[in-house]
Amino acid sequence: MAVAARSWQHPRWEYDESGSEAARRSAARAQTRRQVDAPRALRAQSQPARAQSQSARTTVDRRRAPVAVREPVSAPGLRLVPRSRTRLGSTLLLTLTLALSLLLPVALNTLLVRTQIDIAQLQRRQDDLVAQRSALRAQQATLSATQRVKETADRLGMVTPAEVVFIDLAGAVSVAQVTSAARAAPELSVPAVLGSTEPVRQDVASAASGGDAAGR
Amino acid sequence: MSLRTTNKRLRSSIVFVVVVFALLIARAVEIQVVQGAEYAARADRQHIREFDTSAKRGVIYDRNGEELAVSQRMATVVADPQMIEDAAAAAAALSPILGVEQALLEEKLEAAGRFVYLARKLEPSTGEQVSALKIRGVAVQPEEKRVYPKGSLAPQVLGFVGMENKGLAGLEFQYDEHLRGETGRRSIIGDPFGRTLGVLFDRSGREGDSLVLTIDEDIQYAAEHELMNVVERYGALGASAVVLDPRSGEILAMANVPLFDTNRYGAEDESMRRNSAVTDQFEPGSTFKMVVVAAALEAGLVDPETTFALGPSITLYDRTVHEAHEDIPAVRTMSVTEILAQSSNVGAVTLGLEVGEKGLVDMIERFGFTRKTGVDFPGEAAGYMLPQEDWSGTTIANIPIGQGISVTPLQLAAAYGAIANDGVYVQPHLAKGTELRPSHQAVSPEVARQLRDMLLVTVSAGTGKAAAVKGYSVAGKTGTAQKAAEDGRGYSNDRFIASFIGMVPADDPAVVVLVVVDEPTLEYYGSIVAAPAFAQIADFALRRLEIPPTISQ
Repeated sequence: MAVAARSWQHPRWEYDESGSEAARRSAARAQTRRQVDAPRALRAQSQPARAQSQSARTTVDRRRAPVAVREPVSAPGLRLVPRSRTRLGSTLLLTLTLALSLLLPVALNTLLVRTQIDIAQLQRRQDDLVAQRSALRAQQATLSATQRVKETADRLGMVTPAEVVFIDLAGAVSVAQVTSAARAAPELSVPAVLGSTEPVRQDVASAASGGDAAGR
Repeated sequence: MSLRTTNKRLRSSIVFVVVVFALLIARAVEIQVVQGAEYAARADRQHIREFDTSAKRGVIYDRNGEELAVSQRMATVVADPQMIEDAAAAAAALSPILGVEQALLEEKLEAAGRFVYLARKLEPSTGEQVSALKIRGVAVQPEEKRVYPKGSLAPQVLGFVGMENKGLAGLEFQYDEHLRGETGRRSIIGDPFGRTLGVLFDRSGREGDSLVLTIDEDIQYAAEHELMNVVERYGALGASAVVLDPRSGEILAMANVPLFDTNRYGAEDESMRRNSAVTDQFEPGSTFKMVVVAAALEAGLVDPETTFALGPSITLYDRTVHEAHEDIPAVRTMSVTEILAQSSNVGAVTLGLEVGEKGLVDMIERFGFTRKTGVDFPGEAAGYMLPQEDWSGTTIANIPIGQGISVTPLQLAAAYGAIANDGVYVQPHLAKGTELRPSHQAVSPEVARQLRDMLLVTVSAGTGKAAAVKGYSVAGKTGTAQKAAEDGRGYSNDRFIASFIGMVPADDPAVVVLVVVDEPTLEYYGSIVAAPAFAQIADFALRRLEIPPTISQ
């Protein structure tokens, strides 16, 4: 509105519009409107209450659109209409805000529920994997049971070594011991190359050099 | 249409709308405020499920980290009878999967309550089959089941847990508080299909602590395997063995036969479930002679070379004690070492008389007999001996030869452990820990060394030759004890307990092994029945523990 008022006061407006076709049409419409409004004005004067009310409304209008009220005084041939775009924008903004305020919680809630479902699924998956791990551990423990290993070894014809050799690093001697298992094992299970099944005390150096250091 | 009429209708419409909205608001207030709590509770009942989340029971490991007891998640099928639409149809569908009679299932599904178990701790695949049926009111819940992956290894020691995962016997009972953890609580929002939409709260339980035992799986197996052979070979009722580390008091093996699968503990006979090494007591017989010798040595009354002139029997009041063998000369001279090595009854009674009641009782107490060892196992027996004030004149003739006194195998092993450990008695235990176990000096290190030397002779030149382990010096003692007569009067002549207890290597013992065989029928001497089993177990234990040979031949 302020822009319109300033434009009206511009000298170029007065000059250009006084003789223009548009100005003439506008002046004619304003004249017609004044003629129509005259009887109403008279009726309004006879009804003070209404006039007062009208006055109040005018006051309100002035507040809302002060330029429009001044229009007939300074430019009887022109009419300024309020910019409808402003109201449309507000309405759209309001509608959008309302829609958002309604939809946002719904969307948020949906998102939360979806996330919770995902979490629950992940938790179930974790539980399943933990259970699977426990089952595998139990299976592993079962498979590594001494009894099972021994039975499998027996089935495969394996026996405890005929000789167990302990190396005494401090004394530099090795002591071979015939185990009782070897004693109890069938003859076939003792490799022939081992020879005697009696305990052997052997010098490490001699063992390494082919037994040439007897008497140490 | 005049403006006045329009306004009137408008006003009427407004009034109508206001009234309608007022009614709606009033109803909303009634629902939300007046009946709100009731409706909320009803909705909660339909959507919110709150339940306990069972804590996973801790694992039991052997000393090398081998799992002896683990928990596995299984499927438990439950039902809400109030939600079942057709109990007969549901029972018919579930019966073949669950392996439960249809009539029994139908009865459960028509019960009055809101929760029934249909089948518990099934295989997970069975649970999936039940879930696939999508029967309204029937659900599958996870539940922990105790599994013993080693099967029949140490069943009497491990014990078992009940359906609610509470330890009921053995170490499962002893350490239940640590193993079971804390039950959690979870509240979820579910949809009508049973899917979880959200978790309201989840107070996770605490997983049970794991337990590491002193038991060595391999030595335990070797001991059990050997005992089974002995029982089979000599037609015995049963047998027990204890393998003990004398320095730390750690029990490396505690075996009892007959064996059974630990996973079927509940189905086995009560007599088989007993851990006889701890809960049963027996008259130790000759293995107890070590005590009277120790008392005599500790009191300074004798030394290993002190000799006695002994006859084939000794009479005290109305009690005559004979030697076990008949071909005994009228008089023979025996040193204390020989008394122990030859397991002379007369010699032991003679030493007992030398020591006296007080000295003998004192030594018995110092070795921890007649009181519990304090081993971490439930139901331990304390052994029994008449209080000294109730002793008759002949009691001193019975106790030195191991009669008139009852001990548990573990008590005997712990007492020999003290000799192996330079006279320091250490409390035997099954759970591995860092804290020091109670211990005390039972006999002086010098007496302990003398006893070891004397027991060495028992194996090398005495009754325990069959207990020899090649490459190692073995010190030990045989025992052959008559069992009490069934009528309670005297001793049976055909029911014996054969035993052998020894330590190896004798000069610095790494293990103490006790073998007790109950009522062998084909042979009954400890030297024949128990000593070879000792040798086999000790031999395996030494190799397992990587103890190098101490003697070469």
